Amino acid sequence: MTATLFHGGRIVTVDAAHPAPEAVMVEEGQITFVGSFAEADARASANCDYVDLDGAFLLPGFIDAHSHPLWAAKTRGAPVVDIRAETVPTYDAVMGKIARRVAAAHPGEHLLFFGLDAQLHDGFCAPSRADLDKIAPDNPLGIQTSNCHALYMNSAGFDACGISETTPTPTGSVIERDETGRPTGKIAEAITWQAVETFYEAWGDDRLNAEFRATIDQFVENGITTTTEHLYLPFYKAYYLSALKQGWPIPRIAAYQQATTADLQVEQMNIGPDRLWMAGVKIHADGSPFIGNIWVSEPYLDNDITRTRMGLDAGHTGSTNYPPDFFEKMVRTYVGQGWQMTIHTQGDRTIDMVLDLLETVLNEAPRPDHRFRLEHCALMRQDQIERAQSLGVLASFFINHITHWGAPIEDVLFGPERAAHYVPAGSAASEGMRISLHADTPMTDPSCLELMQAAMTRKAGDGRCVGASECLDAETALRAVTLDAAFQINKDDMLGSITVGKYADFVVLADNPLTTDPTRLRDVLVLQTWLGGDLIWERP
Amino acid sequence: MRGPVSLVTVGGFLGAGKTTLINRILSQANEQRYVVFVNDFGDINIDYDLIETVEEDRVSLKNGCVCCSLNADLIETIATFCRDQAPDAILIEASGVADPRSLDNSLMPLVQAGYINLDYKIYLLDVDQIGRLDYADTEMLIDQALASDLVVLNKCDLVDPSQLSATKRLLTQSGNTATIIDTTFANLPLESLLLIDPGERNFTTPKDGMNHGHFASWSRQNIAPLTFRAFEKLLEATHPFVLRAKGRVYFEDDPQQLVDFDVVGHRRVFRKRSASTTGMTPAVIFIGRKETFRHDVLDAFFCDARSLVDSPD
Repeated sequence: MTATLFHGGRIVTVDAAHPAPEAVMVEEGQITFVGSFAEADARASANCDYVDLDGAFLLPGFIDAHSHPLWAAKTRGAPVVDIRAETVPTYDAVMGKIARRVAAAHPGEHLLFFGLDAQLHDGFCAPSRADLDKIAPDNPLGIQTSNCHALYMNSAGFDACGISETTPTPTGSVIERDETGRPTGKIAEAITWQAVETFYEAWGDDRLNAEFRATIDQFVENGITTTTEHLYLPFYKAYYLSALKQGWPIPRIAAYQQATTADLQVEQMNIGPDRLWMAGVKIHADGSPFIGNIWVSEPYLDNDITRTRMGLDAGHTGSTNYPPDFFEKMVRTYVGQGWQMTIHTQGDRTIDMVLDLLETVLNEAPRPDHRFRLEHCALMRQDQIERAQSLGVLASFFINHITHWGAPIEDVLFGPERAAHYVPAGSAASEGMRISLHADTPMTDPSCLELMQAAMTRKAGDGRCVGASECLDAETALRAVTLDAAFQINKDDMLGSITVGKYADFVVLADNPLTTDPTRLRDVLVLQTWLGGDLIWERP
Repeated sequence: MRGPVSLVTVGGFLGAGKTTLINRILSQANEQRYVVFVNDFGDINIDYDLIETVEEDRVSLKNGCVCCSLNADLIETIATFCRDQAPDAILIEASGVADPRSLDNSLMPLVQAGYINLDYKIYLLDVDQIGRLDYADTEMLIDQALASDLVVLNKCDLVDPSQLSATKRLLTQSGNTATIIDTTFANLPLESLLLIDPGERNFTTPKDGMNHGHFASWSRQNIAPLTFRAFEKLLEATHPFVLRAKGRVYFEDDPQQLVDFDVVGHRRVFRKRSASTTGMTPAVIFIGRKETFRHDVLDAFFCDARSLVDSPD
């Protein structure tokens, strides 16, 4: 029997029953003792390994409650070219980079660029199909927006993806067309994610496997021992099984299958156990605040950026992705099958619609402890937080919106009043909701320390604080990336705290995130990552 | 320990002229003590042997680049220098393949600990080479230049004017807001551009820095407290022609508190002086290219700002 005894550091358990033990004993991958060193030492068998933490901090492994590791590898891994505003600052620079890449392309090579941003790229103007045909007459070319929800393509791109005048627009998707029905360049929502698969397939599996490994390493180096694969599709399983078979140090994955219709099979599975399991279903109720397709009660601001760059008319209030009855049918189907629902909701009217529906469904067939979740929750209102709380509906907040897009959210999209309560994590926590935070990788990079920093400081890239009253305290922020995140994926019995009976998933940090200056949390060094009692990563 | 030590990084692709530039800086050191960190990519430290400075102030990092594998080593060594024998400035010659952005990230703990100021990021670009690199290397060069304060187009004598202007256009189109200077043999008046903090002494116009013919400077001492907003406006107005500005001033909202400022391209840093400032007078210096420099803008501002008060000196 393998046994490990951790001691010599400070142990932050996130378990109120054992706030500051001296030692943790791990046997067969699970925590078997938390308490004094003397007692642990007395219990230790002859072959027990002693791990001296040497003053460092042992915490439960981090949990990012909404992510897409495999999809991130597809979306951002080479040969996708990174054009996010943090790397390529202006629209001109983006176009220059694209032109240079096209010049270096092989005949017929599929070219995909990730990160075009109407708010952050200076001089942005939506590229038309004709513009892109000029730049790339022969190669299939796609430019995906930084929020992942939209794609601009040239003619060769549309041909490669099989989207033409005669293609019907799938329910829930957008294909912008001219008066003859010919696609003019931009597509959005679910059809975007189908279209980019054409590019990924053209590049083959060797590329994907290499990029998948690199993405996994990024999670593990940040101390993340559990995360989700939201938008999971059945064919993802082969990649995950192969990764597990090869012994990759892959975090535990709660899969949430993407539903775009009401007739999908959702496989009951739990591999490992608890390395990859089907946790529930994900449905997009609306889209992205940054391309204008979320449903809001108060219009977007009216200015040059919302008009010319985003193409929104004055008074624009957006819409949901699916017609209400289509959406309701999906929700009823997967709730009926017993799945946990995680519903992408950004605009407040969307949240009204979803809460109405969930209330109805729960009234008809009450389900204790359903843990239905609303994802991202950009413009969730106070009354909606209270209502969600009374229904037992949980919110998972995409807090990095503040750090990455805080300035345009306040100045360009919604104004100071709405910005002050944008992703209202503080209000939700005050109502007693067990909230989680997420980086939604590939949209932003995986780091739970960065999430804590964002939630505690709400500092935008330009240094301003967006919504000081929504800042979290350190304990709540830490729970939102450990125990409460485990609760939201229905695994708080096995994950999220250093508690006897749970998996020995740990992160070792150089500093205590509960006492570190919140403006420097993201710089706290991750020293080691442990999964099921095994050291899976150590800072070189 | 005295205040934070100025730290200058010199980046550039293999063969861009980094070692030559470091030697230029050292030859213009004027009795200041610089510590040089040389980083080679590979087993044999070629550059180490080429740097002409006192043995104990050369610190060589073997087997890797400063942005990745040698982080802890580099950080510790710099911290030790700052604690035990703080030099006037630290220079890091980053390996030809080091990513300046990760280098900055690695250095942040030292900035936070108050050991160093990230003073100036110089990036050398061989204009003769850039046209001959493949797509990936070209993009890497552009990205790296983007992360610097000063891009030095080197070896300009090897290319014709059209290639030089194409390179400049490429950098500008790529969103480069850094100052771009062209030169040969890395020949720059760096002493003046670096403006190493003189500590207790006052800023003076660099002795021979202006002899290169391309640069002009404007300096003044004994300045009455300024309003912060007006000063920020001045920095906006001078941005087009100022390559570098530095100094210490009082602001009206707290006329007892001496504030250091440092302007490099778009980067502006204001820092309250914590140590005793008795006997230190406010002083400023602005440096720019001779052909565009506007003495009149600075004259007018500091005149209007009631700058020339009676000094006890």
